[in-house]
Amino acid sequence: MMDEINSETISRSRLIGIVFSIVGLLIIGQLIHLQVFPYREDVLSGAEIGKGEWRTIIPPRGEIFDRWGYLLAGNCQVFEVGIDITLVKSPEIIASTLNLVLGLDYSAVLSIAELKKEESDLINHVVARNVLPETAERLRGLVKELEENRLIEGPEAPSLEGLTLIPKLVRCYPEGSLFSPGLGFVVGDKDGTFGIEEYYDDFLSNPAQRVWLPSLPYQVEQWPESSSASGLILTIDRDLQAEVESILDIAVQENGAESGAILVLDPRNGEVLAMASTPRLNLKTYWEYEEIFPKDATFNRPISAVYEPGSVFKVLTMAAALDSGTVTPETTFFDNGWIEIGGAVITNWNNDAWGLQTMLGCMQHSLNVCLTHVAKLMGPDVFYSYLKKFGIGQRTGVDLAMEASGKLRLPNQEGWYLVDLGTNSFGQGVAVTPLQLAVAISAVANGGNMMAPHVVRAIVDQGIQYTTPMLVLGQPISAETARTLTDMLTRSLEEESSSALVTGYQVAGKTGTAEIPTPTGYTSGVTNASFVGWGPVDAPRFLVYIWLEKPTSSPWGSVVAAPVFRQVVERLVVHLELPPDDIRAQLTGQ
Amino acid sequence: MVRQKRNQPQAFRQAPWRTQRQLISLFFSLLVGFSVVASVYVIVTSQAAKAGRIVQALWEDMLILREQIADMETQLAELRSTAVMKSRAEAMGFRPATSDDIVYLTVPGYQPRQPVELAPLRGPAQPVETMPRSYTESWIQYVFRMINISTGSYDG
Repeated sequence: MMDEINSETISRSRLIGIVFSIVGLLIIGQLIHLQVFPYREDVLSGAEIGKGEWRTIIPPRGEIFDRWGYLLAGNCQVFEVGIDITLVKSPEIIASTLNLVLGLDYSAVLSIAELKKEESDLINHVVARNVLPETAERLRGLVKELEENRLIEGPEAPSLEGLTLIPKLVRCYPEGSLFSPGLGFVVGDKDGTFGIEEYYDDFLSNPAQRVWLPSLPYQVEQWPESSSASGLILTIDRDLQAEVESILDIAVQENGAESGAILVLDPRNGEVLAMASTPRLNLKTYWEYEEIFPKDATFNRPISAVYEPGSVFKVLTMAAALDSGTVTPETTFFDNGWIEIGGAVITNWNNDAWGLQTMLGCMQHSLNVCLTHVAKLMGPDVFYSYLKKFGIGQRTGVDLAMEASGKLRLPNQEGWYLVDLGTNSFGQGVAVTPLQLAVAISAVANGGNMMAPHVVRAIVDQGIQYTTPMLVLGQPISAETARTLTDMLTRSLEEESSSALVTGYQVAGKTGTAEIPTPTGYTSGVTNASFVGWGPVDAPRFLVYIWLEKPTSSPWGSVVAAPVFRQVVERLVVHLELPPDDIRAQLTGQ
Repeated sequence: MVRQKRNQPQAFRQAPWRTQRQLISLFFSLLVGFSVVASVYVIVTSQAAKAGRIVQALWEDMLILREQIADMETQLAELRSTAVMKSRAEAMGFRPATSDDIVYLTVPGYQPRQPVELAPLRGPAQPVETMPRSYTESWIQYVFRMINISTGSYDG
């Protein structure tokens, strides 16, 4: 009996052991199956539910301010309107509401709102982007109104449930068209286009961050720290910029010019104080770009438009001649009205002979024949070595996108002929951007030092402001040459009673009138009228470059561009708090 | 006789109720101790959890506020834009000042308008007042410093 019980107990125990072993093995097998085979990802993701969430954070694009802190490019809130198909109760109401408020196609919206979850991979279907906050508020009001109605009338009442409004930031330009060629713009979520927006795109466009946010409150330390605001502070003076643009618009209109550009630089440090160009795009309606700038039209003329500058270029020729010791201001030249170079005959702007002239007279009367003679005296090697030192034919490196390099043929290059030495000396046969020439001439205004032009004064990054360092591009001429030439160009303006003269302020400057070449030569009869000037001559604070393209009121720079210089300087001295020379002398003498 | 009595085994033992009471007292003492520790732990962790939740909520608020601030800054900039300000000034009878309108005076100490500083400037390190050692030094560091001073090897 005892043996039977024992053997029965043992066999039962074995059976139970086997059953439990099988169950255990099955559990282990299932665990391996779940962790190794295709369910692994599902299991892991299931385990993550409730532990936290992955979130994509899009930081606001860096803001852009003028030198005084006025916002030129910021961010504003818009809404993405979508339909969450899992929540929709009244598709027709959603379709008719969006048709009424946003003007969306009723049937298109209805087809989305009627989608079943199984019919679409997406849950939230975006039906409208960049919806203004006022419109979004109106939609919110309608949603709320219908929900309140449902509470009274019951679940069968019409509902806008499923309509989603997701806020997001987009680029906004509160000043509209002000400095728009320099700022550039951003289209939707894409990269910056033109100007600062393109040049500093990597810095401004803070990349979207995908971050893990643990749900457990004890793990809050793992939540990412908020990044500090970033931004750019420009050298541009907003109010001065507005005035310069206004002056340019009036000048272009009154002179019947095709377009124009004005640059205001501080020659001491290369800061661009104002940069105006026509036409300009209102950045609030950037989508009109193709309408305003058809085909290859230039967006920012001061840095991207390349043109033959004409006589303003004589400043560089004379600077090279004085600095190389080829001539002095008192060197004389007898102008018989023409000069031969490289088999071509060069004449003066009025085809007249001006007789015996000093170098001052040559500059004052803007004599092509005299400057060709000076270039011949220097010879190609000296002349072009100076042009290279002045940076002609090279980009200035200004911190704006789409800067052009200009065109300068050198003696060792194909296509250069000796006649180019003559024509280049008075600014024909050589093409520059207004900025390039302004920077080159700024060396004359700044004691021979040519400063790197820049529009960003400081960068704010991670809560610290970094000031852009001043950079000397080179010293193409000596301080003595700069002083001598400035004196020559001051006297030149005063003796011809130029319309560029500004009451109370002594300025130096040079006009420029350049015929616009055609495939058959200089036969178009239309001109580029320019003026470059700086002041006060004893301690220059500004350099102003004017360019009017194809003026119809008069072809001459002295007639159309010089008065614009005066208008700009009259406003500039007020903005710079620059007293007239005599008062400044009194104040500094006290 | 005395020695013999000492070697005899004890003739009585603790009453069972007394032993039980001691055990129960010990158990309850441990339980109370454990409860106190647990309650402190619960209070601290619940406060930490509450603070964590507040931080999480503030973090979410911060994202929303940041967008709203950016939007409002832009709205404000539109209201202060050159075009708006110019039209308002003109409507109030103002006109741009010319150099003839301006009287220049020497004002001792006058600083011309300076470009904006939106954040602290990065420049050479500024000398700062150092905190007294008594606030930053540990007792061990103090002892070692004193030893170094007394042996003449202190250089700081």
